[in-house]
Amino acid sequence: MKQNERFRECWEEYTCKNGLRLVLFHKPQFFTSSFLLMTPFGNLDHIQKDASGTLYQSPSGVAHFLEHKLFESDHDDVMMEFNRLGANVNASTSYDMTSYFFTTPAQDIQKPLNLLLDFVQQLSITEESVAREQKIILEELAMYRQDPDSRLFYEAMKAVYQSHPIRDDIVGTESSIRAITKSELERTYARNYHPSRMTLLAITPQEPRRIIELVEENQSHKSFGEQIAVERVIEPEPEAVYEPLVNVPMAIEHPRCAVCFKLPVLEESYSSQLKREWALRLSLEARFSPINPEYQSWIDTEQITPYFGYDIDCSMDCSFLYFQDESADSQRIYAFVKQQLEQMKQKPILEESLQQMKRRMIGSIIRVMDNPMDMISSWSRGMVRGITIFEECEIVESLDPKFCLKTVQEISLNSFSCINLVPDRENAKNL
Amino acid sequence: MMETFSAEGRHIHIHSLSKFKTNTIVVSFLWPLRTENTPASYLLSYLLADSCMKYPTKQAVLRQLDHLYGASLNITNEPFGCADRLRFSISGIESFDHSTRQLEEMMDMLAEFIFRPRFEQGAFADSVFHECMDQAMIGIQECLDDPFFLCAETASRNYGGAISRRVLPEISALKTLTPQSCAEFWSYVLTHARIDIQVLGNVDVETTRRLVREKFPFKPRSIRVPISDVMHGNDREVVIEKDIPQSHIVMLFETACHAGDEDMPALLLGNGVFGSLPVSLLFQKVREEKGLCYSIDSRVMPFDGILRVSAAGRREAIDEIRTSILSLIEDMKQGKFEAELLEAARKMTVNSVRSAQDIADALLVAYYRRALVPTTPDFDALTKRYQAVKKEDIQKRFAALTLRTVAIVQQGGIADETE
Repeated sequence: MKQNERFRECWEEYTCKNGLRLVLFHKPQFFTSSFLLMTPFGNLDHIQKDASGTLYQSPSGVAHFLEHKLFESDHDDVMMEFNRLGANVNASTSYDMTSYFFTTPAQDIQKPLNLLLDFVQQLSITEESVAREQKIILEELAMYRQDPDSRLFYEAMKAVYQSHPIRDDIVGTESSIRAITKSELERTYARNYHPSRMTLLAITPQEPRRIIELVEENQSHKSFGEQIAVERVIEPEPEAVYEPLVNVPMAIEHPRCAVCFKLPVLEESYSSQLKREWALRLSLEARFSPINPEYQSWIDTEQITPYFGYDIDCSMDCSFLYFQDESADSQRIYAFVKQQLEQMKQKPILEESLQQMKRRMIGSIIRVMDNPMDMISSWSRGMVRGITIFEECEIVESLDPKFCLKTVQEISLNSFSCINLVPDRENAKNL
Repeated sequence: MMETFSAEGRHIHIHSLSKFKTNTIVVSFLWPLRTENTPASYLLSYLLADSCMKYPTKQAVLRQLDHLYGASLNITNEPFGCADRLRFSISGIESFDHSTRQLEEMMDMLAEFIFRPRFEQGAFADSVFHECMDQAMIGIQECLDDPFFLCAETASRNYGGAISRRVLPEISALKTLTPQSCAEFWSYVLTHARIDIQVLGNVDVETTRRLVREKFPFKPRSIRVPISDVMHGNDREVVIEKDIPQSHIVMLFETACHAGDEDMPALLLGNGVFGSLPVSLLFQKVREEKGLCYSIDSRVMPFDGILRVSAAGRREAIDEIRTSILSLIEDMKQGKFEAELLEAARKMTVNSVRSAQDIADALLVAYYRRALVPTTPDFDALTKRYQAVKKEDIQKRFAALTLRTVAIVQQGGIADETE
């Protein structure tokens, strides 16, 4: 049993004979058990290669499509089976993983747990059901397209990246969704759903040992083919952006805009990359939030609105800074943000501000631990990077103003795109 | 363990639970919903959340919240049924040394926002007022930019009654407000509204009760706040065209069943079979079998006596979606749903009652509803009521449904090019 005394959590880690990893948190005071089974396969993985260099290429959106199709079985609807057991089931696909999860307050978790393992570890689909699902997923795509925040981010990624798969929506594109076939789904599934690639996380009042026995028992009746070790392939991305300025007409009353800086990707370990990301994140927070005493004056002088926000991603194969606001003039926002980023390179953040944000992080971890689904989701995201949430906290606590400044000074602001969502086509022409 | 202490319009509810590592304090103000007051209620949630006399800048607010290890402070306007409501809440971790220090500091901070808002010469400070007004107007426009939200608001507005009074205020109505008028309205709420103070966490009941009385010295008041709206909706259909890639439909049915009614568990369980659960008829037949839409949902609004059904799909599919919904309602009336489906829905519903007890926010909502409507059963009694519901009970509730208002927001003009 592993422990973290500071956050008062304990958990068991175990690897099954077939390679399936288990991470089990014991919460005896809770009624609910939550289980999540994940594979590190998301929308960024639609091109992969094996050890011999053989390339496997699928249409964009295949990870998400597979997620939808795994809920079918030969004889019944998986969702109905879970609900018969009183369990709530769902799934989600992100850029770098797909996960399937259920929650139940029932004492008997054996049946829903077996059902989770059984339905994810077997794909059984027909041409007809694939065609039907295409229609549903196209509607899902349409739903995201008409949400202004989703649309703005999507258009920003399309503008910044020339070939990187992040420029596609997780759901795919209209043409890629239509191009997905039954055989493509089956091939992709075989490559990415071998147990040795997967992890089962659980938060449960039940004894972890019992869960391990149940899983080993379930897996002992199954055989899996040999795993083909595959890894993600990302085509080299040029430094320049695809389109420096984009105007998108949309049926909205209020304009929005975004500015996105493409940052170079560095060759480094997960922990170094995470440390760098946090150094940038805290530096941005110290500047672009009310921690900064100037922040209110920016709102008062209408340089930004109260809806101004930012985000940062520094993963192993793509890195960007993203700023958005309620405005029709992304180029003005760009000028403002660039000026602030240049000033950030001149002096370090205050130690007092850094301590304030570290305190905030400790509180946020404890609050995540109070909600089983939040906890399990956070832990699963960390699994993809090979770092626990507690280790991440230690990385953050190790940061000092000098390191943060050095990290900020290293970023290049040369590659960027400005994106405007405008209320109608007439305005788009006139910009 | 929950204890309630009530006196002259002020109610303290203390829920002592050791399973959570966070404590939450909620102060709710409740008063009768009136159209002429809704713009001020809406704007007040922005004004009161921005800052206060002790923490007069966003920086000061954030610094204090981070001092409390990233505590979360929320002030929201949440009307429901015939009642208007302002909800103040603060949630944060308990003290590492298990003392009451963190809890007291959280109460102190919340009390500052309630009793000492950022005033200048008896009214909200001008700078705060103008910024919050801009924010509120943008907030309304953003909500209405969401085609589903627009469709739901349109349906509500045309239905009439309390639900029509709860829609977002018109921007023109917001613009009539002044710092002085908002301050006067807040003064009215502070002295007249019903007050419920909830504390949930690993707390000692007596100590917490003493602290609450000390930190929140509200004066006695006497107010009657009707909660449920009992009225007949308007028979209306409204269609709006917009340049959007996906169309939406919202249908409002009168249910003749309200919160606290004996039959409410039958209606809720029936709705699980009909549309609110993933195994429901709406999900299985309209989405999965016919592939007509991605999102489809039905929701009981217990304080309005309404069942709201909503879906989104291509423009050319909306008529078929509507027909399918009506056909499935007929099936429910005639009992044309499998026993297996009913039992699955029952199990899901009972389990969701149990699961809610592991989520602090869900517990607070459930306890608050029980405080307002004393006939609402507790968790154990509710479970028993769900277990006792028969197919005929569900049929009876669905037989009482009457379609009143339909709103459609559909693709019109030139569609967005997606690629």
